Amino acid sequence: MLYILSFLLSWLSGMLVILITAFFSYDQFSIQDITSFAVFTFAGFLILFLLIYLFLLKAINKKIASNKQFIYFPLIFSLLANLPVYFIIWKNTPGLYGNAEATLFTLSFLTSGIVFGLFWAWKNKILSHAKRV
Amino acid sequence: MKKIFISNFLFLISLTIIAHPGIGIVKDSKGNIYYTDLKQVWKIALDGAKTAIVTGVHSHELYIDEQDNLYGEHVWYNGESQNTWGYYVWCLKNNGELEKEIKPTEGFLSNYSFARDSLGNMYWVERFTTSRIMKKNKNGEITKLAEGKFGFIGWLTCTKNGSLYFTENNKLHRLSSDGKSDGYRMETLADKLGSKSTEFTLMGRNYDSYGIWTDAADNVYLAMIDSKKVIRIGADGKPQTILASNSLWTVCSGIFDDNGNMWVLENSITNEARARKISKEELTGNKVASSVIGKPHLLITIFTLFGIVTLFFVTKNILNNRKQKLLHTAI
Repeated sequence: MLYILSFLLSWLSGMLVILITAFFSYDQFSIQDITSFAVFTFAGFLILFLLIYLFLLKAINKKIASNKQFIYFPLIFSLLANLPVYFIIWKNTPGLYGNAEATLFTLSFLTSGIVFGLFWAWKNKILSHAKRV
Repeated sequence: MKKIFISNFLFLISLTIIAHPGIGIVKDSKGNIYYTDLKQVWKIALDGAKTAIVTGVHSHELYIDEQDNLYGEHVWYNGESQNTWGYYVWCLKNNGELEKEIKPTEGFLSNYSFARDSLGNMYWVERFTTSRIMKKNKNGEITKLAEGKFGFIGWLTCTKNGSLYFTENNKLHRLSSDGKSDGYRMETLADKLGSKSTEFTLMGRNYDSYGIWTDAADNVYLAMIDSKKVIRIGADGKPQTILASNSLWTVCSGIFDDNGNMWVLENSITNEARARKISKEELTGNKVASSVIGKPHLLITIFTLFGIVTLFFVTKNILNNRKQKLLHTAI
C-alpha cells in the first residue's frame, strides 16, 4: 500500500509543479497539454519506479542512518535515480518537444524524486522511532 | 470494456494531436457561405439549406472570385509504399461545372495560392530558414514582397485590396502596398497575441493562432485553436477576446457576411467541421465564457493539489496506525 501511495504522491507532486509552472510559462495550457504531460510523466515515472526506484530503495534503505535520510534520499532519487530520464529528455529535445516542455518534464521528475525520497525518509523516521520504543 | 475505453481515449488524443484543420470559409456575391470539412465543400444558402457541392476533395483553403467561381485544392498521400503526395486544383464555375484548373500532379502545390486579392493576384509564403512572401500577378510574373529570418509563419490572409495579414510566433503583421509603384511595407499590428502554448497542442507548435479574417472596419480576427477562442486586434494592437468556447469544438477560421454576422468554421475533437453563425448582436454583446469551468488548467491544478493533500493524510493515517501497532506490541 505504501509503495502505491508513494508512487501516486510523487507523480502527482511532479504534475502539480508542471501545472503551476505552466501558469507562468504559457499563455494557455489546454486539456491536450495537460493530458499529454500527464500520460508521458505517468508512464515514464511508472517505468522508473519499477525498474530503478524500488531496487535503489531496497539497497539504500538500511545503509543510510535514519537522521541523514531526509537529506540523502531526496538527493539520491532526484539526481542519481533520475539520470536515465534526464538523458532521455535531453536526447529528445528538440526532436519530440521544445525546450520549454523539456524543462517542465525535468522539473516534474526532479520533484517526483525529491517527494519520493522525503516520503520514505519520513516513513522510516516514524516507524524506526516506534521500533526503538 | 476497459480496453475499449482506454483505446478510444488514446485514439481521441492522437486525433487531436495530429489534426490539421482547414481554414476555407468564403462567401459569394449573393451571400451564400461555402466551407470545407476536408472531405467535401458545403454550401449554406441564404435560407439555411446546406448542400455538398464538391465531394471527395481534401481542401484546406478556398477562394471565390468576383464572378463567384470557387477554387480549392485536393491533396492526397499515395501510401507508404510510394511515399509520395499528389494534388490537383479544382474550380467550381458559377454555372455549376466542375473543372480541374491544375491537373493531378505529384508533389505539393507551388507558385500558386488561394490567398488572392480582387485583381486575382496570388500571395504565398515560402517557409525556409529565410522565409519569403511571394506574389504572382495575373500575367504569371512572380515577385518577392518580403524576405527575412522569421519565426513560424502561420496561414496567410489576403483582403480584397491586397493587404496581407499573417502571424509570426506571437506577432501579427500586415504587409500592404506603400502606395509607391510596387513597394510593400510591413507593419507589426500586435506583438503580444498571448498565444504561447506547448508543442503538444493541436498543431504541434508553440503558437496557436490559426485562421485570420477581417471585418468591414479593418479589425483583424484570429482563431486561437488551442485556447478555443477568437481574438480581435483593434487599432491599439491589443487583443480582445470576443468569443470563447468550452465545448469540444474550436474555431479555426471565419468570415463576415454582408449583414455583419460572423460565420466561424469550427473543428471538433474528432476532426469534424461545421460552420456556425454568430449574430451581430451576439458579437456586440461580448458574451464571453468566463466561468471557472472554462479554465480547465486552474480547475485541474486545484484538483491535483486536493489529491496530494488527501494522499498525504491517508499516508499519515496509515503510518500512525502502524506506529500504534508497533507500540502496542512492545507494551
